Amino acid sequence: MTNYDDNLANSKHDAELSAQYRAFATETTPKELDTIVLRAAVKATKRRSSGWSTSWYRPVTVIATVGLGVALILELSQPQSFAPPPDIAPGASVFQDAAENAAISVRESDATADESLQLSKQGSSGTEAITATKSATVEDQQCNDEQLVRPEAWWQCIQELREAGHPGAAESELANLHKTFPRYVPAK
Amino acid sequence: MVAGDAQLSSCEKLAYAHPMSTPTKDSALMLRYKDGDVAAFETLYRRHNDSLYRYLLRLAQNQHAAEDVFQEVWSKIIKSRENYRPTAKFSTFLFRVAHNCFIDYLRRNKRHTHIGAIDPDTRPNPADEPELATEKEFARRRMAIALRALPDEQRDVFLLYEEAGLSIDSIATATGVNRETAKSRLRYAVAKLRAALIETGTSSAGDT
Repeated sequence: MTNYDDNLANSKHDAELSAQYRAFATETTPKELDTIVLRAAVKATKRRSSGWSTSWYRPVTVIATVGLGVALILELSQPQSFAPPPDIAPGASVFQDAAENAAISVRESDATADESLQLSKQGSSGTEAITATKSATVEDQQCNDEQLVRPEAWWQCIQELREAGHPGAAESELANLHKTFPRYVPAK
Repeated sequence: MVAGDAQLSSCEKLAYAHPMSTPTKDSALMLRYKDGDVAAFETLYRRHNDSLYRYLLRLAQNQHAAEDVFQEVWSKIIKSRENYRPTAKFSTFLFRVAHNCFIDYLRRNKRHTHIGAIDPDTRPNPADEPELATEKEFARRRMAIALRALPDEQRDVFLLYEEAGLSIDSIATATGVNRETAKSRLRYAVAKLRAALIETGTSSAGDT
């Protein structure tokens, strides 16, 4: 207690004053007020008990949230596989195959063009005659496919055609040789 | 002094009796109410309702105003249960809320009328009224007049001391002033009341 409290407590006059006040102040709370306040106190607890913390949907929400979180974590922790599509095999050289096919088609187209040029010089007409003539002159007045692969062999074939009395065929083969192997210089 | 733990009924003592028969503290009751124990709140309420009512009645000098503020105070106490922490005595907390609610009430209403207020200078001579002939009633009327004559701040402090049983420090906390100011106000209030009662012949002791 403070000094003042001690003085007040021990003071005869102040103790008498306090006694007089206590004798004077005898009012009590009206019963209606008691009822109002106590009813409000009960109502407040009921409002609280039906709130968020005790409702049924809170545990359901918690469980659903936890479940989704676990599923997401498991999904993200799985190793990601980026395997190539099954139709693309490792090491496959699509471009190589395409290059080879293109070279074959170019050679075939050149051979066809040469045949056409030769047939036009010979002046033959008719598809069947041309076909028959071509097949008849392949061995006599044209170099075979094997000789066309190497320029030396092709040049040899041209010499043989000249010696065989087929200068036209030889010139035609020579033109094709220069077209196919432009840098090739025949040995004399 | 204020009705405290000693005035618990036998039923309340049975309900809340500690093995050593120690009445439950106000803060413990409030914490129980926080957990939903309405009976704990009722015990707490009945300990302080009358003293709070008289405090507001004498402070407002208006029964209607006192009842309005009384409800407002307990409404705030009820709402505060969720965040209640026993950092101070519950009575200090309660009467601080009451003091602030009364101040707010004054601001909202600008003025308050006195029901049954009697101008001390024009009051009838008690000796002329048969119903006031008894000395007891005479003393009550004198006390009422003396209290009414106090400045509001001094009356407030005196009532907190007498009705709530607060210490000087708690009174300072409840009224939002420093300790010396609260002490000074209480001293002046007691002095004025003594002087008024002695002047009117209600005090048996002479002036010092």
